[in-house]
Amino acid sequence: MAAYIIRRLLLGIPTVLGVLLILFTLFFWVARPVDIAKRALGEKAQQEQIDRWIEEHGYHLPKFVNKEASGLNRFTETRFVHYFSDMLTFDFGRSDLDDIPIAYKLKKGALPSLCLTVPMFFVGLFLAIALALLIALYRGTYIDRMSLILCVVGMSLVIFVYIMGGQYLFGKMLNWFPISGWAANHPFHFLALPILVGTLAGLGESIRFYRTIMVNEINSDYIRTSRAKGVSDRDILFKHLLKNAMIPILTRLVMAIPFLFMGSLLLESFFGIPGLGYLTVEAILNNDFSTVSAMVYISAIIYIVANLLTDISYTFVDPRVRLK
Amino acid sequence: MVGLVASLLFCSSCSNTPYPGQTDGDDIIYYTSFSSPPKELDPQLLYSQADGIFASLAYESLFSYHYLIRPLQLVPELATNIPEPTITRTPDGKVSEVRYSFEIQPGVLFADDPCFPGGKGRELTAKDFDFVFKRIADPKTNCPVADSFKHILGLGAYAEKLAAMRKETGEKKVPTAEVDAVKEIAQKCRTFAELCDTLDDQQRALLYEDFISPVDLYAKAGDIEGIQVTGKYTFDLVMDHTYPQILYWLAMPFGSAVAQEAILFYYKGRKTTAEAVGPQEFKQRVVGTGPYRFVWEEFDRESRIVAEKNPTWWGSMYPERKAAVAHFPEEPGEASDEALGIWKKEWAGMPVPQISRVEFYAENEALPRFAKFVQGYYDRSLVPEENFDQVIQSGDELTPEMEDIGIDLSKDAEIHISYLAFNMQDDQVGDPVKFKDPALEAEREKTRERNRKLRQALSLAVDSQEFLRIFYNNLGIPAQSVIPPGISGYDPDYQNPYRAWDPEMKRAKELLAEAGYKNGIDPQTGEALKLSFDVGSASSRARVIWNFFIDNWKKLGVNVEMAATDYNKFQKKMEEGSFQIFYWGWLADYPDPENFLFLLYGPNSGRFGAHRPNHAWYENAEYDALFKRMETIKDEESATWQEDGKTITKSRGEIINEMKAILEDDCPWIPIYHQEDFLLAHRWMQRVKSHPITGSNFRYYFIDKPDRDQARILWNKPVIWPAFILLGLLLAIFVPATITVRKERR
Repeated sequence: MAAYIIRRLLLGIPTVLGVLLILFTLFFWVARPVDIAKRALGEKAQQEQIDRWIEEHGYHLPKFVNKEASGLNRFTETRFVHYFSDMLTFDFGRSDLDDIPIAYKLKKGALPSLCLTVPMFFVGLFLAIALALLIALYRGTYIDRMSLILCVVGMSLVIFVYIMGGQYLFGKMLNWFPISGWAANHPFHFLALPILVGTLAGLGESIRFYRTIMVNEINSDYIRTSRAKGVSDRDILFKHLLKNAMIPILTRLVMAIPFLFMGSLLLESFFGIPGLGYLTVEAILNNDFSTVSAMVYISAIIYIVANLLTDISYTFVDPRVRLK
Repeated sequence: MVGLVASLLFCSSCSNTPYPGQTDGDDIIYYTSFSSPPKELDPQLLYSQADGIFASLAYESLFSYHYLIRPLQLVPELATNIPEPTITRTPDGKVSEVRYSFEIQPGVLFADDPCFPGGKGRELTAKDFDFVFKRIADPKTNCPVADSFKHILGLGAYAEKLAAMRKETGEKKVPTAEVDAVKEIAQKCRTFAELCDTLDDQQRALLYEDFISPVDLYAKAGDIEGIQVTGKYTFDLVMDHTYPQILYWLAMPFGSAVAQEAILFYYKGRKTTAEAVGPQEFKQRVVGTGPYRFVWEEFDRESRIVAEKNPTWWGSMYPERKAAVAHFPEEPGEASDEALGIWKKEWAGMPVPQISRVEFYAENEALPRFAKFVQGYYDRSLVPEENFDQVIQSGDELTPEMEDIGIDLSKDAEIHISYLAFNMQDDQVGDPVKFKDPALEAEREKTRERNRKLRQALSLAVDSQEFLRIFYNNLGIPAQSVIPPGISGYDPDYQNPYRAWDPEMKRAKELLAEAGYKNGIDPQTGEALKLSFDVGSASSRARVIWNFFIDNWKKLGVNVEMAATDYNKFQKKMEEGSFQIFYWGWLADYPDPENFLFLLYGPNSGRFGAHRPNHAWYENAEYDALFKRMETIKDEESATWQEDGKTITKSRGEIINEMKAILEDDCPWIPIYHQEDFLLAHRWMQRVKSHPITGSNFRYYFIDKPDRDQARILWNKPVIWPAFILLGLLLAIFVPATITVRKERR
């Protein structure tokens, strides 16, 4: 397995480099440094300011060949090499928007994001699997049919409807939760509603997914045999069925890990939670290229790691899977 | 599911308060919001209204504006009075020197901060203002309005000197490792005094990137010729020409007093640590002399920013001075102030601020922000576009729902104009210095007349009222001239003959035909006249808005094509003059018509260099001559000059009217509208009057706290019964299902 992990990690390197290449092309080829500087400094900026800003952010270097340098520096003293070396060493520099170090922003935003996404992830997972098991148990009854309708309706609604509906119903009409906001010393006071909204928004699709898996498994021979042997429903569901349904469940779960770290763009933005999702939205809206670039890069790395973890996790739940 | 809702309700304590665990106590807190965190709080740099609201809490300038009087009137803030200039003339009567002598309030202290010895703020002196002017001049500061301060004698030369000196010192390369080592030592210093004791001057200079501290550099560079410190609290400002608007510039944040210690201690790159509370870079660290100071322990720029009364504010320490900015006005500013409840006799002369804390909360979205306002958690609000119908009816009245909860509605008029402009150097629509096409140049006068009539026709075709109705809920005043309401030169009854809307467009069609484009047909091509229209956003909403004008012109038969680009490209086009028609706006820096009329002053044309404000590239010798006369006098003054052997004397108002008439006929702009906003305030908000220049006048506000507390409790009682219905519904679904399944199993 160690060899497999090393091989997968090595394979991740070209993927990361590819991501960096795309980011470099998008951010430094399509957008000119002078445009980035003007966005950061505003319309009243003078040429001298713009030039200095460009230099401070390292955008003054030529892209690939530095004709003013000599020897190897012709190629190393370029934006391309600087960008790659900075990103690979996780030196993200300063935000184009407000000049604050991006590493500081990431560190600050990580906790609120995790406070939102981790409970949402586990609550959503628990509820979806529990309800899917229940529906699978009641398959063919009106509960199954009703849940199908509700799940399809739930899946069809865009998240904005949940967010605005949730804020209106629970925050404004019923006065149960604050509509939005954040306080580091009372995080869950503000997180309750976004967790509820986020969980509900993802529930329809998750239930349908898990229900399909459960129903497939419930019709398997080993379940029938267990029933014939008089195993209780509870034991069938939790000891046999759930264990065998773990592979698709795990695939889905581990792939959700990047989302946990990167935060939820819309929920954080609408509920005013100063996490990484909010940071990304702010960066996009304000053309903060350096922050967007760092966020995209980090999410690419987390996705690569999550993919690897998915593969490894298979070996734990299914003894037939061997990583070579 | 029920468990989830129940546990989440437990987390939220079943309460919708956005201020959990907070008790106001004896504090009177003003609750407000911000949509994006402050980016730049260095007063010599900030040019955004949003950032200005934060900065103006704690920074003070020499002057401010009277809270109630309209049109706006300057009042002294850090200065003891508004000085009259001493004008010296040459024997032939020309102005050789204009000298303003300023006296600043004694006993003004900077707010306590670690950057001062012992953490105690020191006294402000005239030397601090000398430092401010040097900072404005310094090209490295990047003050966006440094050019406007170049009216001060020698300020431009001083800037050049600093640039040259910096170039020299910048050449001394110091290894990065050495700089980093010094920065690491500096980081551990908790006070500026400690920093000075730990590092020698040379080491300390390494913190400031160009390897010399700004203070040392300014000391080496000497003084600005036109800024002369004459005493501990006095200094003179000297110019070689009259420019009364300089006082307005000194009322802007750029002229705010800053402490050298703060600039040196909070160098760029200093990090926030557990010991160093609050932001540690000067662009975010506010150390001013104002009525409020930031509570750094509670500062979280992404979610909550708090300012509290500054206990060492001079206004509170010396009430006997009766400073205009330290007391509620003794008299109403306008006749309507008393009737509207903005001014009451019992409030007159009351010391300010009454609000002890101002709390800003991050609100990215308009809907939650407005919902919280309706719940009583914010004290004032604008009317979001999405909620307009919920709040306003019949154009300018509150809906009964809003009236029932005691909300007050007021209109806030900005000193602003949105306009369409022509490229006056363009062959097809302009009046260029020289036509690019030799054939057109050969018939210069004819072509100029043709283009003028075309511009007039296009101006007549634009219906501003309809534009405001469709896109801005009728909020705004259709513009007739360059000058907006709120400043001298604005006449509400003035009707520009080329802005008189006629649904039949009779006159517009006539003018178009006279220009040689009958029914909009270009005789050269035999097709509809084709023009291009540049706009600075490619968003779908922006396109819809700007298509309105294209549709207007289409009714004349003219085919105008939109060139929508991002804002930077748009600006570049403006600078290069590669456009025919564009749409832009201008918000006043100060309440003087000069601040609008200069947008069409010839020497400000883009033809003479980049970053010039005359984007229409308009040049008219007569207009320029009048501008020069108008610029150098005050509203109540007159200008006298010789013309054709005659002595002519005209008041400023007359000169402005003549300028308006020139613009009316030449039509380089199509004035569209002057912006207005509806402002909502809860019934407990008192003494609130919106101000078109200074964004935050929190010091004058008052809040009826018991009323607010009561209203919040009453309006936000949790409604519990739906929870029981939800529970019942779930039971109604699952109990029969369970029974059925069990029966089947058995």
